[in-house]
Amino acid sequence: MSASPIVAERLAAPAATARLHLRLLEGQESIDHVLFNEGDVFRMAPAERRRVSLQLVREAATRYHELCAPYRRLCEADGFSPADLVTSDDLARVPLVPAGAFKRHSLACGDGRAVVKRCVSSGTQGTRSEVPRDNVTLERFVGSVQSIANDVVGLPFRGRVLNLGPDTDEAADLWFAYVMSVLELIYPAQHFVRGGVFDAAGLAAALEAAEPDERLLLVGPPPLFFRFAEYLQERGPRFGLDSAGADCVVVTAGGWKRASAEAIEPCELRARLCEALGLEEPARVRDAFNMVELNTVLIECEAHRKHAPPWLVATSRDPRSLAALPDGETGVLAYLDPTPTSYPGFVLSEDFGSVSEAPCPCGRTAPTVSIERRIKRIESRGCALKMDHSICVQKEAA
Amino acid sequence: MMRISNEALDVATQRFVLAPDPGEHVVGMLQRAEETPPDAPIVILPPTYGRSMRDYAAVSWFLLGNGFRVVRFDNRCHVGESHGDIYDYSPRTAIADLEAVVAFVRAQLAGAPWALAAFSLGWRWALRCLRDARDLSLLFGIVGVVDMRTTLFHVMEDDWFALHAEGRLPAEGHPLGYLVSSRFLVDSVELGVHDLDGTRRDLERCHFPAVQVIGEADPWVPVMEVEEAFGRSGRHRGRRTVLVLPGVQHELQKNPTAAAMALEQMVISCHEHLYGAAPDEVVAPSLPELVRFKKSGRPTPASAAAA
Repeated sequence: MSASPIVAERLAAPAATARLHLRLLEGQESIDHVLFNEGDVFRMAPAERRRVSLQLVREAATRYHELCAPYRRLCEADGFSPADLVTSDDLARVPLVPAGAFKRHSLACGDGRAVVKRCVSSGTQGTRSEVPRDNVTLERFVGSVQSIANDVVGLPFRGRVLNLGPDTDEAADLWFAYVMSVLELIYPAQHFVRGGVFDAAGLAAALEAAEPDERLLLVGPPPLFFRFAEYLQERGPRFGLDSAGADCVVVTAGGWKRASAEAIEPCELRARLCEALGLEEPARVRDAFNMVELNTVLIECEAHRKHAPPWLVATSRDPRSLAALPDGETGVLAYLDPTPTSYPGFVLSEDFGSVSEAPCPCGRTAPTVSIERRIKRIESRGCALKMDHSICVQKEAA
Repeated sequence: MMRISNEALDVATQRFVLAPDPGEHVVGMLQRAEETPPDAPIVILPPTYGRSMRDYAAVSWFLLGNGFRVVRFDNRCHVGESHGDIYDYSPRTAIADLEAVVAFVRAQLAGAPWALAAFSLGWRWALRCLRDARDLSLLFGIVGVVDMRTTLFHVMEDDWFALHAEGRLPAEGHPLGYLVSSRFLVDSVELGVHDLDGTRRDLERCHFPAVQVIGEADPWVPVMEVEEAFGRSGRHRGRRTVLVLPGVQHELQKNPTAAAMALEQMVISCHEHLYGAAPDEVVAPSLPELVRFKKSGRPTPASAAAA
């Protein structure tokens, strides 16, 4: 970062400040300014957003190419160099690591000594992914969760988290549970899964004990919220959080996973939770999306659309050619996330969905990502394994 | 210069309860890492507005992990474990609490030097409390408020001091989400801690060095006002240093990179002034270690009851 003209001018005139020693600290990378210091990142003008995305992805691509040998091999196989990133149209050329590759390969940047947490997926479809995160990567994740939550959900200075999940000890390396539990770094938190058992009665008691003007953030996976709603309705009488004056926001995250047989539509889940908790507006219930390979969380706005922040480039890809698809067209979702420093954050997901820049009723200008369904194994063979193969073959040749 | 540690820091904690006024308790804790000598220098961390001692886990870790003993506490009439409700928050009790804690610390020093590091409004109360101290080695500020009028204007989006001067001050308000009696503002004016001129005068009479880290883009604590308070007059008795974080705003907890830089500077300054030289490296906690450390400091029901 260069010094701002104002500060540089004062540094050049120390006599004006007598014995004062005024010094500008260096060291913050531009990505941190976008993550933590910008105003409302979801309302950037599209041209500015593309400029920011291009710069951050280019910086990250250079790092991954230099420090992650498997990613470099992937680039070489695709005939791609980070220097090729000149305009935002070039972003579609950035090689993508299939999410499945994290199940089979160690994809660390450098020697891995800086890794402080090996984060694993839930392994719903079998093998677990393992993603190595260093401290910078983890801090950027937690910091961006906070800034995104502030911008999209409006979380205030003061609040309390009620987590329908375990605490950090019990969450261990399981990424989704860990993400929920580290919210206690930001807000005071209580956790309602102990020894793998959900304490619905304890959560109900915590809600009943809330102070009238208290801001509560309930987070957890949809199946536990579904069970909690059932518990409240069976128990009676009806909760009335809104009428009691509590300011409550519910954020579901993590999907239905092994409980997919019980899954209900998002709008039905919202309606059930509003009914059970006594919330008057469905906008009080939001869904969030993340996967272990992604270092950014996507949280629904008031209109229940998931906006991508400017540092994250989301696209949908043709399943066979991996070419970027037009606005709103369904394909395999791909993410260029430049925030990880310890692994390549350019990932081809295992989800079908679409990305759109169409105006959102909430007024935010950032593109929206719609996640429609998981790719079935048979479908994934057409694309994901192709690139995984190039990583493996090149590795053996090297 | 900064090394991230993913290892658990073993810390010995001594909780204490003081009574600045009869029947009103102040709860705090004195901590040191197991490997730190019991007579190591002490750094006091007073709370700022809206924060309790439990919110200072990261700041404490940086100091504990780099060879200092740390004292943190909760103000009376504020959030946390000490006496009273935040509705009655006032600089009078905050300053009296710090006076009591300083007396406690002086009894624990065993010849060691001491310093104080404070954030935001907590720094302003600390400056008033300590302006005549002769044994303080360093006053370290992070986004310390130099003109409460400017800060409050941005927080409340209204000039409460003008309303006070016009006799139209509301009885209470909601700064940062807490319902607080406007008595705190009246007390600030009576004590002369509400404006830039008062800060400048308090700083000028301090014999100890004062270092302040500020955000270049912080509207609550503008760079120009900090410069004014810290040096323009040339009448200061101690050395003054202001370190500017480019592009950074007031709430450092939202910016882990900037926060780490500020805390690294805190450790360096404390080493320079309490140990006589800058450290070879600054050890910082990894995020998982910070989560573990913060959890380990949670008050248990028994400790809360004892307090």
